[in-house]
Amino acid sequence: MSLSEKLYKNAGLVFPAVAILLALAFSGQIDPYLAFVATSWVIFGLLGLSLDVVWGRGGLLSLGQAAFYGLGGYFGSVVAINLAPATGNTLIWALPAGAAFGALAAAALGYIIFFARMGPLQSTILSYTFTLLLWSVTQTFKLDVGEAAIGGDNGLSNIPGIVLGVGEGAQSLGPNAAFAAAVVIAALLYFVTRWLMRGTFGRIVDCIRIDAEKTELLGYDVRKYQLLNFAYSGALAGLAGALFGLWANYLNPSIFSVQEALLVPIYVLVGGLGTLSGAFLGALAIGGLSFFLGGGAVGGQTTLILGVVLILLVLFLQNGILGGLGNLWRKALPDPNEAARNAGAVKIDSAVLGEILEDAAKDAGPAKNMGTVEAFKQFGGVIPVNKVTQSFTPGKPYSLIGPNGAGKSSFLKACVGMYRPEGGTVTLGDEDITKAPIFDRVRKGMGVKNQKPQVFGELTVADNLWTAAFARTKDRVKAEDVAAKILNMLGLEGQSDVQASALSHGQQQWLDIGMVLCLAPRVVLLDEPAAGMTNEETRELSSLVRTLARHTTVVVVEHDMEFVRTLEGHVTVLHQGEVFAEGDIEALRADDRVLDIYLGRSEHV
Amino acid sequence: MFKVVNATGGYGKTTIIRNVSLEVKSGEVVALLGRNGVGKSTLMRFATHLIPPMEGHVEIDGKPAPNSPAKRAKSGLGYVPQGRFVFPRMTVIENIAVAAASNGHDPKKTVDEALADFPMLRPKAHDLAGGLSGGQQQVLALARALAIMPRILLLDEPTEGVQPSIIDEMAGILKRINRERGIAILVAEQNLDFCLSIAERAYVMEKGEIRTETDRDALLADKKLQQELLGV
Repeated sequence: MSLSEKLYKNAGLVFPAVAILLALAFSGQIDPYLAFVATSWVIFGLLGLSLDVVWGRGGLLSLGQAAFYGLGGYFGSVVAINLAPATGNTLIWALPAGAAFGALAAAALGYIIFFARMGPLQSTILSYTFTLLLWSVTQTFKLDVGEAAIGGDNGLSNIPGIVLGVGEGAQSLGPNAAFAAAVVIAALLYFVTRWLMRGTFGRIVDCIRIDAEKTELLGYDVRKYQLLNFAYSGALAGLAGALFGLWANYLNPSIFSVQEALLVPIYVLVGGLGTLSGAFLGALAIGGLSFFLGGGAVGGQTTLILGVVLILLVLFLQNGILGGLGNLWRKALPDPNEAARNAGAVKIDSAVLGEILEDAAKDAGPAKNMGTVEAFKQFGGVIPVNKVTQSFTPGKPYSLIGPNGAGKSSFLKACVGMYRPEGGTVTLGDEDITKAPIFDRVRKGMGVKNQKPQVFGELTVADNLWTAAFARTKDRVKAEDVAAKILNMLGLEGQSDVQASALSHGQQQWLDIGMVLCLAPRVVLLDEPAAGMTNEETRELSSLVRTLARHTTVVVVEHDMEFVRTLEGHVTVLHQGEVFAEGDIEALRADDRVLDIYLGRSEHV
Repeated sequence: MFKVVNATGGYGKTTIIRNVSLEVKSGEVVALLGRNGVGKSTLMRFATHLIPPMEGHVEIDGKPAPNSPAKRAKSGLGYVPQGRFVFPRMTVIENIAVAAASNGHDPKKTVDEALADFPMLRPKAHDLAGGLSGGQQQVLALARALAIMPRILLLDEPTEGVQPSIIDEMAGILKRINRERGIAILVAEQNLDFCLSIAERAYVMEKGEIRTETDRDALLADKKLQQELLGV
C-alpha cells in the first residue's frame, strides 16, 4: 500500500490531529479578540458534528439540534451557576449536565420519531417544530433556580466563564486560554465520535441509512440504534450549548431561533456531509468568512456575500469541501472496484455449507417449522393473501409458484412481518409470531431474501457479509470467520474490497443470498433467487437450496420451472391470493388448469 | 441501422467494458449473451448514454447518436432496463401515456394499442405501477418502451421474474412487432431458450469484451461454447 493510500485511509485521524496541534500552538499568539470569536467557531463546529452524526451517518436531517443545544446550554448554565462557586472549575458541572440534558431531550423526541416509524420528511419537520416551540415558550418562561434566574426574553445572565482551576479563588481563563480549552474539548469529542462511528455501532448506523429495511431483516433492532444515535447527537449538542453558555456568560431565547437552527446544516454541508470533521471546517469557513467580511473588508455586505459563497459552494462542491477533496484524491488512488470484473464462478461446497449450518444449529437450535393459518392481507379492494393455510417443515424445499400478481411475494412478506396480516396467524416453531416485529422474527430464526437484491452498496462485499454474520454471532472475530467462509463459497474472495454497488445484478443476488446464509436461519424464505442467474449458477443454487433444506426449512418463490423441478420438493400454486393447487411439479404440469393460468403451452419458446 | 463502435465505459474510474463494437441491422433480432458481470448491462447503459463514454460512440441510421438519453429515445432508441424502473406513483396507463406523449405520439391511441398488445395489463390499467407484482412491472416496462415507437429496442433481462406462460407470450409479441413494425431488437438474457426463440444472431461477451459472434444454429450446436461462455 502506497503512502498516499495509507494517508487517505487515516485522513480523519491525521489531518484533524495536525489542525488541533496548529490551533494549540498558535492559541497563545493570536489576537485576543480573534481568539474569543474563534472559540465560538469551535463550539459551532461541535454543534455541526452533532448533526453530522444523526444526518450524515444516521440519514435523518434533524433541525432539532439547535433545540438540544439551547436546552443543554440553559441546563448546564443553571447547574454551573449554582454549583461551580463551591469548586471553582465550571466545566465539570456545565458540560456533563448539558450533555445529559441534551441526550434526554433527544431521546424523548427520538422515541416519538422512531417508534412511530415516521417518514424522513415528517421527522425533519417535527424536529424543526420542536425547536420553534422552545423558541416561543422560552420568550415568556421565567424561573428562579437557586442563584440562577431564567428571565424569559431577558435571558439568563451571570453565567460563570470557563474556569479550569479548582477552589474558591479560581479565575476564568482569558480568551486565548479559553480558545485552547475549547479546542481540546472539541478534539476529544471528535476522536470519541470518530471511534464510535468507525466501530460496530457506526457500521450499523451506516447500514440503517443505506437500507433500514434490510438492516432490520438482518435482525438488528433498527429503532433502538436510531434512538441511541439520536441521543448521542443530543448529548454532543447539549454539551456544545453548555460550553457556549460559559463562553458567552449569557443566554437568551434567540439560541432556539430559526437562523440558529438552519445554520447547523449549512456548516455540515459546506464542510462535507458524513465526514465528521467537515462540520468543524464548515463552521470555521463560514465563521472565518463573516469575521473577515464583518471587519469592513467589503463595506458591510456580509450577508449578501456569504449567501453567494454558499450558493456557489453547494452548486460546485456537492459533497462539501472535504467531500470534494476526497473525490479528487480518490482519482489518484488505485481503484478498489477494478476487481469487480474478474469475479470467479460460484461454487457451492455442500460440505462447507453443511458445516456452517451444523455450527449454526448448535448456537441457534434445531430447524423450526413455519406455518400460517387462514392468513389474510388486504390493500383496499385487492386481497393479495386470501386465507392461506400452509405448513412448512424441514427436509425438502417448498416452492411457491403462480402467475404474476398471485400474491406469492405478499405471502412471504406476511410471514416475515413486512406486511401485518389482518387475519389469521403465522407460527414459527411453536410460537405465534403474527404480531412480532421483523427483527424479532429474524432473531427467532427467519432468514429472508427479497425479490430485488438488497445489499449495502457503499459497503464492501466483505463488510456486507460481516454485518450479517455479526447480527447473529455478536462476536467480531467469529463474524469475520463466518463471513470469510461464505465469501469463499461465493467465489468473491478477490472482490472482498469491492463496493457492493459495483457488482453486477447477478453477483448482488449471490451476495444477498450469502448474507442470508450468514444469519444461519432456521427458516429460509427466498423470493426469486434464480432471477438473472446463468443456468450454471442456477444449478449451484439448486444444490444450495437442497443442502439448506436438509438442515432447515426452505420456502422458495420462483418462475424458473427447470429450477423448481430440480429441487424435487413440494410445490404450491397460488392464484389470486389463494392456494390453487398443490403437489409435485410433474403432477402440476399435467394439470390443465395450471397450464392455463401459469405454465402455458410453449408455442413460441 | 444501429451500431456501437469501440465502446469503452464504466462507472467512476472503473472500466467495465472495453472496445466493444456491435451492429444490429434493420429489422434484425440480435442476442447479447454472457455470464453475469461481463458487462452486458453496462453496454446497454452505454448505448442509451446513461453512462458517459470513455471512448467510442453509437450510431443510429449511420449518424452519430445524440449525447443525451432523452434525445436518443427521440431518435428511436427504446430501452427496458434491468430492474424495470416503472414510475411507481403513476398508473399503468399514465406510464405508457407519458412515454408516448414525451416523444410526440398520441397518448390515447398508444395506450389502446399497448393494452391490445398486452391484455394482462388491462385489468390493472388504473392501478399504480408501484403496486404491481414484479412480473407485471416487467411487462409494463416493455409496453412503455414500445410506446415511444422505437426503431431499435434494447431489452435487458426482460424475462426476469416473469411467469412461464407470459414469457412465451412475450416472445410471441416481440416476434410479431419485429415482423410487423420492423423494430430491430438487441436483447441481453440469461434465458437462452427465450433468447434463441427470437434472435437469429448473437454476440457473446466475456470480461467486458465481445468474445465471439455467432448465429443461432452454430450456437445451439456448440455445447463447448455454451458451457464455457454462457454457463449453460
